[in-house]
This record gives sequence, structure tokens and C-alpha cells, in this order.
Amino acid sequence: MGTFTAAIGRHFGRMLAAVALCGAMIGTASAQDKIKAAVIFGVSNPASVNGWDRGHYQGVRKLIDEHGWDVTMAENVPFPLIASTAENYAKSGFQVVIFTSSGQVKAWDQVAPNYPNTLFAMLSTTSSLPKSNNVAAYAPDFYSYGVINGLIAGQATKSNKIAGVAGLPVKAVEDMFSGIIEGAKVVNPNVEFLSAFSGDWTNIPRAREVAALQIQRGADIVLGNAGVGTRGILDASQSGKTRFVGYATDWAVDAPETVLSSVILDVAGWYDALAKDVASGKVEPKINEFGAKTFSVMPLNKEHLTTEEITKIEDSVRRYQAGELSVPVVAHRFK
Amino acid sequence: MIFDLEFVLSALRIATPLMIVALGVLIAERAGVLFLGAEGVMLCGALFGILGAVYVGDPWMGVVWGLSAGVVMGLVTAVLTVWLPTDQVVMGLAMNIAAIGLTSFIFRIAADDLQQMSPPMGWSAPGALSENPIAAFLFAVPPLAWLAVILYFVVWYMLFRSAPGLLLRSVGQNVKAARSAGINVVLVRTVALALAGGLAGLGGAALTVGWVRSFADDITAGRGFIALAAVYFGRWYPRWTLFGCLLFGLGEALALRTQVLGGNAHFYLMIPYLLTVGVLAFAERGCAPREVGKPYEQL
Repeated sequence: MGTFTAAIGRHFGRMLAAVALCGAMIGTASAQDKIKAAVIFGVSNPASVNGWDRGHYQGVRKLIDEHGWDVTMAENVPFPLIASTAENYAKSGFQVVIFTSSGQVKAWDQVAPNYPNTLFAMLSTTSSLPKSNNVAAYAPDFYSYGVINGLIAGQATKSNKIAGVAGLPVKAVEDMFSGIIEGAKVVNPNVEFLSAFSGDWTNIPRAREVAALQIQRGADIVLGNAGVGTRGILDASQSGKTRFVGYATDWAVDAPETVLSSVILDVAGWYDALAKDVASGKVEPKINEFGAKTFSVMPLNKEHLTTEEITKIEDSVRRYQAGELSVPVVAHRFK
Repeated sequence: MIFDLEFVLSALRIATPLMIVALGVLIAERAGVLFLGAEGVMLCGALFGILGAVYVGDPWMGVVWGLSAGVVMGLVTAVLTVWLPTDQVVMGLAMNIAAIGLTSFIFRIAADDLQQMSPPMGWSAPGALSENPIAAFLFAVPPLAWLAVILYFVVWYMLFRSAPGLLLRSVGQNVKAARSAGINVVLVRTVALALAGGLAGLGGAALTVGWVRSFADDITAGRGFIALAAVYFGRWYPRWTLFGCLLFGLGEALALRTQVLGGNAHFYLMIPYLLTVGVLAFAERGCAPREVGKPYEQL
């Protein structure tokens, strides 16, 4: 209770500090010096959604804190309204509009050609660009990301069954799951990959039940990529006494005893690259892909693995990132 | 793999919050108040439940916090729809929208503290019984599912076998006659809404504290409305209302589990809704309490 009161106190303290800071800034810095950007999120409160969206939130903080951008966030924007939201920002004089999900590619294609004075950046997986010069994409290589997850899970599993639970079988997920399958096979030919989908990116209970079913089917390592629903996957993993590999950001704080490790996507690094390209005027209409070397693995949980196992896993990841371990590229399909 | 004890447990986990909220809706509507705001009250119970569980460190205190938040919301509903009285449909919708904003705002304030999962709520069979499959299954049933069953009997007895229940039903059936008989309609409806709110809040806590152990914006995702539909499906009787909730739970559990058969996940996810629509279409037409939705003007 005291902590809650303290949390409210902290919040209002921050608000007062922010008001004071804004007051101090008036007259010392011109708003026109700043790059005005808008970031469009499909979820609400991205800072609280561990994984992909929190990674993007960290990127937004980087733009504000390190690059001095003036950033506005649009949260909880449903897919049908993404194009009009982006359009409104462009009409309102925003210099950069950032999309945070591959589900927003259609809106990106639709709006970018109509507003040539605004840069439309996609910070997620895409296989093509809009027919326009004012676009750029900064995206991870989800296949390589999956491979690293597969190398970890494939060697850590005792039951030889690993599960991947996602929201929907979008391209990024299919690439990731394909990478997991092939990565795991390289280090453990007997491994079986169980895939399942909760049907959306926001339903925690449903994701939990889908994950619980995979655990019942024998999976002892669970990987989750279901947006907000990933919390449910973590809960199922914890309740089922299995181990969880965290997606995109560090999940150890959420459930220290359950999280085997987390494979970090350097989302803030993509924002950094975008800001540097904008500052240097080198933004080009191309897909800037961030590969295996940009992913990092959080320390493996010593309660679940022996020192030898940890060394073996870390070595395989290092060799893959250095290009010394070859993993075939096979595109699997999921429905 | 699809039809086993885990399937039953999954259905119970899904149905438990619905059952508790539906009992609350049933009480309110039996008293003649349209409890359209059940979704919003459930959402508040879900948030305060998780706050209680995290800050006190005890899931049962989370349940108490969720229930208390529900009672407060129920009393707010009573002030707005019984004491003033305003339009019950408009007020119910407004409560739902306001609850989304309120819970999102508080969630942002407390988000740093809510990152870790709330403490688990469960029990395990004592040593000697743990080898017995029936005992193991009974202990695997979520504690709040048992509570829902107990509440079912309490609500049934209260509504149909007790004097206060008779007062409550008479107010919902014919408010003029009840008033002529000297019943304090405002008091009865206020108490009914406090109970209904408490149960809706408890249902929310059952979702977050008793099931997924975390909170997200709009986590109820329409479950309050499904509970409302279950009451209509159950023709305002506890037994059939509970059956409606269990049916939905079974449908959703089936939808999630049939994915192992392969094919498109979306196809299976239609199952609970198709099942609900189908059963509603063929269910016998019920007769709602006559005063539901009508504002009560005090003389």
C-alpha cells in the first residue's frame, strides 16, 4: 500500500518536474530546432508491454533524450485508423512519422507517396518499400533472430520439445519460427517444434491457455511473441514449471526463476540509426536490415543449466554471430 | 489430447470469471436494474485485484481489493441509476468507457511495480492424496472456481429461498406493487447493485489474480458483456446462467485445443461464438424481469 502511495507520489512528482522543465525551456530553446516526429503504436501503454513494444518505447526515449527530438506517441491505434492517423501527422507538419509494426505496412504504402515532405519510417519487418523517395525501413532479420533462439532452446531442452506461441502467423513470426526450427535442429537433431497462435496480440488469457496446451504436449522450453499476450505465455510457463526464453527485451525481472534467458533486439539501435541518418541527410529509400550481430543474449539462468551447458550454448551463439556456424535458410509455413 | 482433464480445467479457468460476473448481473437485473456497466466494473476489479495482490503480496488480498472496488463501482452505479435516476443504458455504456480510462490511467502510474507477476493463487493436494488422480484433479481446479460454485448456491438461495430475495425480485418485477407494499425500492436496488458490483469486481479479480496474474489495458476484452449474454441465455435463472458461462468456457477451450489438429487458428477461434449464437438461437425465449431498464421515479 505504501509502495502504491509512493508510486502516485512519484508520478505527480514527475509531472510537476516536467511542467517546471517545460517552463524553463521556453525562451532557451526553440521548438523549431527539434525534429518533430510521431510514433504510431498498435497497443496502449507500450512502456508496460514487455517485449517488442517496450523496445520501441526505449527507442522513442533515445530519440528524445539523446537526439533531442520532439516525439509524440499515438497509442492503441487500430489497424483501420493507422493510415488516417499517419496522414494527420503529416498534414500537421510532423517531419518524421514512424510505424512500429509490420501490420502497418499497408498504411505506410498508402500514405507515404502523398506527403513527399514527410519521412515515413517503418521500424519493423517489411519485404518491400512504398513507391516513394521519402521512406526508409529499419528492421531486424527475424530469421537470424529465430536461429539464436533455436540454438538456445534446442540445447536447453530436456524433453526435446520446444514451443513457440505467437499472436498471428505474420511474416515476422514465420521468419522467426523458421529460424528457431532450423537453429534448434543444428544443435539437436531430435528436437520437435510445437507452434501455436492465440489469434491476436492483446489477449493475455487466450495466449496463456494456448501456451499451457503446448506445455501439456511436452514442451519444456517456451518462446513467446504474442504482443501484450506474451505475459500470459510467461504465466503458463511459470505455472507449468517450464522455462521461458524472453522476446526482444529482458524478461528476467518479470519472473526471474522461469526466464532461461532473453534474446534482445536492439530496437533502440534502429531508432539511433534513423536519427543519425536524418541528422546527416543520408536517409535513403531502402531496407536497413539488422542481423545476427546486433542481437544479444542475456546471461543464461544458472539454476536451469550447468556451467558446461551454458558454455556450449554461448559458444554456439557466438559462432553463429561470427559466421562460423552455418544454419540453412528454410522458409516454413504456419497457419 | 483434446478431450482430457486439462481440457476441463482450461474450460473452468475461462468460465470462472464469467460465472462470478454473471451472478452479479443476475442480482442487479432481478432487482430491475440493467447492469450494462458490468464490463467496466469487472475491469476495475481486475486492476484493483492485481494491485492488491502485488502491493500486499497476497493473492487473497487482491481478491478482497477487487471485490471492494466492485462494491464501490456498484454503489456509484446505484447513485447514478437509482438515486438520480439517469438512463440505465447510457449510464452503463458511460461506466464502461470511464472504466477503461480510469484503469489505464492508474495502470500507467503503477506500471513499474506491476512488471513482476503477481503471487500465484493455488493449492496442491496434501501428500497422501497427491497420488490419487481424483484428488489431484480436484485440487487442480482453481480456488476461485470453487468459490464460484459456492456463490451460485448462495445466490440461488438468496434469490429464491429467502425473504430478502423475494423483496429483491418483487422490486424487479413490479415496482409499483412493491412500493405499495411498503418496500423501500431505492434501498433494495442500492443493496442489489452493491452486491452485483462486488461480484463483478470479484470476477475481474478472478481474471487477473486467479488466472493470468497480470494486467493489461482493457484486459476484460468484452467478458463482462459475455456474462451479460449468459444471463439472458439463462433466462435470469442462476442454473442456466452458469450453464451458459460453462458452455462458453468449453467452446473457447475447445477452440484453443483443436489447433493441435492443424489448419487455420482463426477457424477454431470462431467456435465459442458460433456455439453461443447457436444455443441462443435455439434456446427457449425467456422473460426478463419487467422493470429492467426502466428508471424508477421516487414520489
